[in-house]
Amino acid sequence: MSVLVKGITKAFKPGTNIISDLTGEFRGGEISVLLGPSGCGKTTTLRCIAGLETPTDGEITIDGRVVYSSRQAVSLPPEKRDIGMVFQSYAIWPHMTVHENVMLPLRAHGVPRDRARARVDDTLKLVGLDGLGERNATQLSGGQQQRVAIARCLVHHPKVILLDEPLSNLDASLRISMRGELRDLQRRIDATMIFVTHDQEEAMSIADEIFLFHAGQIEQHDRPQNLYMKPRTRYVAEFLGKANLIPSKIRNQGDAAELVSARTGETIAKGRFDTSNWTADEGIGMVRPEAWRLDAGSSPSLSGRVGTVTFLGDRIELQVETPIGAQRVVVLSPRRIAVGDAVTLSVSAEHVHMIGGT
Amino acid sequence: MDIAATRSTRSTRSADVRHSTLFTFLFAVIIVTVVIPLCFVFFDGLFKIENHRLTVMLQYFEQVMGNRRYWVALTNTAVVALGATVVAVLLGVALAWLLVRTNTPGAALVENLAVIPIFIPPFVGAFAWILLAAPRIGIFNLISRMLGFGEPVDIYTHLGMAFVIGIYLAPYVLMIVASALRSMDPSLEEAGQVSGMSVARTAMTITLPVVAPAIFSSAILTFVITIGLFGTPVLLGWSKQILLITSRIYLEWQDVPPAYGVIAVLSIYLVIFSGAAMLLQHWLLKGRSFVTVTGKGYRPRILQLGNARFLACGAAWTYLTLAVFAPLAVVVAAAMFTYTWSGNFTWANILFLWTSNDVAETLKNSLLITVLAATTTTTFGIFVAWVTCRTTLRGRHLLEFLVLLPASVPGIAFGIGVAFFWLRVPIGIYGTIWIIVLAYLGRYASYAVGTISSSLVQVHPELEESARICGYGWLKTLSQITLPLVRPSIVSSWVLLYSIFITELSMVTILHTTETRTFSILTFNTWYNGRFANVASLSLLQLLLGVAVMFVVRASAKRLGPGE
Repeated sequence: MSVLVKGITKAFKPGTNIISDLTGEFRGGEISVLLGPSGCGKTTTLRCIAGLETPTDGEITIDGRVVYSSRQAVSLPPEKRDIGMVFQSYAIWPHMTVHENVMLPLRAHGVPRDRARARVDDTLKLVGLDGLGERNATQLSGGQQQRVAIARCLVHHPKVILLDEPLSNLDASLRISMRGELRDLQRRIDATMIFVTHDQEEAMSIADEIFLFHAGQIEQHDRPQNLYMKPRTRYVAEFLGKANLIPSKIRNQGDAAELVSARTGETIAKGRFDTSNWTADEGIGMVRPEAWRLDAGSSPSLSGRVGTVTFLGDRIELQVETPIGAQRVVVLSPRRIAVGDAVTLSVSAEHVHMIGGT
Repeated sequence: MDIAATRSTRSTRSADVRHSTLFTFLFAVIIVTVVIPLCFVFFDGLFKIENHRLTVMLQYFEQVMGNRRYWVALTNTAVVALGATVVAVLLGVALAWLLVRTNTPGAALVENLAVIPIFIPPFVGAFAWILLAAPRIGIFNLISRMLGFGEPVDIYTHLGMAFVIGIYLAPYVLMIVASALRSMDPSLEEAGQVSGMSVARTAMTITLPVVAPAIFSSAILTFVITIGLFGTPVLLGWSKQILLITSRIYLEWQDVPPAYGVIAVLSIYLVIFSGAAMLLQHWLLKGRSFVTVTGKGYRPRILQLGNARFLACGAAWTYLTLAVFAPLAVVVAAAMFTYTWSGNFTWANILFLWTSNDVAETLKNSLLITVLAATTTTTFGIFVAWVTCRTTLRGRHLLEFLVLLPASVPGIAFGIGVAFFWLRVPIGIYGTIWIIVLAYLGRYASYAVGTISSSLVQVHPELEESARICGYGWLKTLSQITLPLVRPSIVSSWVLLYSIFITELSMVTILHTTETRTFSILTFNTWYNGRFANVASLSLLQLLLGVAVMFVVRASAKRLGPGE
């Protein structure tokens, strides 16, 4: 039940592409998250899959069926694509009850009334809304409306479920618990979901695979952990979490290779480095703030002085001035540390990730 | 068509060939009901076809320019329109300020009642004021003469016309200015006073300039409505032959054969007049809308008037008396006498409404035309509003513009265009009720579009999109989701159009024939024949059909419909 997007382009005005020549495969039975800042084309891509926007070019296949193809002049309307969708605003019809809202997809597909009724009840139970069917949809809380929207999209067993920033209207704690529920629900019914969000924490916690968007294209896609640990470009490294990006060179080869600062020649780490991302003999060494260790005595190490200290409860964020520039460092609480303290920073070779470019 | 379809598919939110088909259809309707009639007005005044060649012809313009009576009509129109505008603006602004910004007792009630004059047909208002203030028969003059003061007022003058038109248009000014005052951030004034200005100076240097654009827009609106009025100027101007352009057009139309060229030129005058006013507004108000509409309601600062508040209250009720209560009372009274102020009570005039064949026939016509036209126009409005709000089809702004265009064209001029067009088309529209329906549709479609789209923009597009995802097609989504959600606006559009159409006079004057006489025409002719007692009972019936039906439908719609 995978969704295949091949070379799609969408321009609202000629010459200004929202997405250009975008290709990707969203695998069946998984949650694929489209992540990126606003205006990067993730929502447009989702709406193209839904049929709510028509691409200017390309081809879209859902479960092997071509739903859009500029070459074959195919463009199925949304109602013919057999999908479910949860909208950012939930789009609960205010003139209908909860039951009627959830019933509508079944009515639209001509499911007999008594069978439909039973299915609506089952679905409402599945999302934890049993007993609320006769409520007017507008009398529900935000979280309940969200569940109605999910129930409505599940009730007809669509091949693919599309979610457009579904959690962004909920408050912080509800958002986190809904994340878990969505994840559970997806596993239980083995659904294929494509989920749009701009919240990287949400993306990493819910995704089987993240598709990171940048300027109308997929910059990189991978399992969340891989994407975080092994970003292929500077953009990905900076977008996901925080990163120290150090222009570097490799000295020597093999197990005793040394990573040195390209600017000052300081040795940063020693060991075996994977330079397959590098196109030249120079590039960027990425060290995540939590990868730096503050223990003295390791070799090689950088001496530095603490510039700023930000206490964040479970952890402390430091800015450490070193010969190779200011480094962002995160250490776990409790730890006594003050501005002006002298510290030594070290990192093991396996925690340095190499990115091409400068 | 093929090219248009593929091109628009590429630029629409939701690709649907049916959208472009619908769009083409809507465009065709607008071309036939608006664009061609307007073109015909200009064509007949300015061009003629000679030996299969189109030539410009200034003969009719010269004829109109060279004749003194047309100059008089033009001056009369300008004088009366300006006068009425001044009256309406003074009354409207004063009332708005008193009702919104002071502690005048009963302000909310007065404001609600003050919309009634808008729904009193101009003909009925003018007729009532004849009974109130005409020489010899006017109540004021009768009483004054009995008391030995002579006859102080004469409604059959420029001033009288300006006054009557002004008091009936003042509610427009009131509504526009009141809403500007309400949406003005009170901290603007507070900042002025904190800076050391007195209340009066704050009002003059801050409040007035901020609401000035609203006052100006309402003044232009009043002006444009006035130059297009037909019923009031004819009724009040007839006895002393103070004729406006609209009355002139009517007179020329009665001639056999009518001087089509002259009529066209006079209609062009009207179009230019109102066009110029609209341009002036556009030009002067460009980038000068100070009142930021945030959608957030401010609580206006209330000025404590002290004992003067009773004076203010008295003034507000005096206005209501002049515009609503006295006219109503005098029309009811007149309908109860054998002839005007004979003192002999009779039911005959009321019974006449039951027994007269004319009444039954014209009423049937009026209702048929009104229901047909209000329904078609509202339906048309639904589709135009949907296309302009919900699609990105190229040309939708042009469609919107064309729909809005006739709103500033005086009714009688528009009627002339419609007549000229269908006179030339061999299919039998001319002389049937259909020509009136088409004229109403073209002239008033913008009312329906405006009412419905203001409600449609509040319906989140995702509500429709989710229905499409759930498996509903486009039409099913429209009928099951969109229309139920905007139902209150559909009802109010229909009711508004109903109340306009049921008493419309300026277009039917041009477009009716003996078979398609409407009730408003019957009333007008009865006045023309001088049977005032019958006119009074017919006016009452007009009020009942218009205002009363509207209030009933509104009240029940409020009860049944989902709250707006």
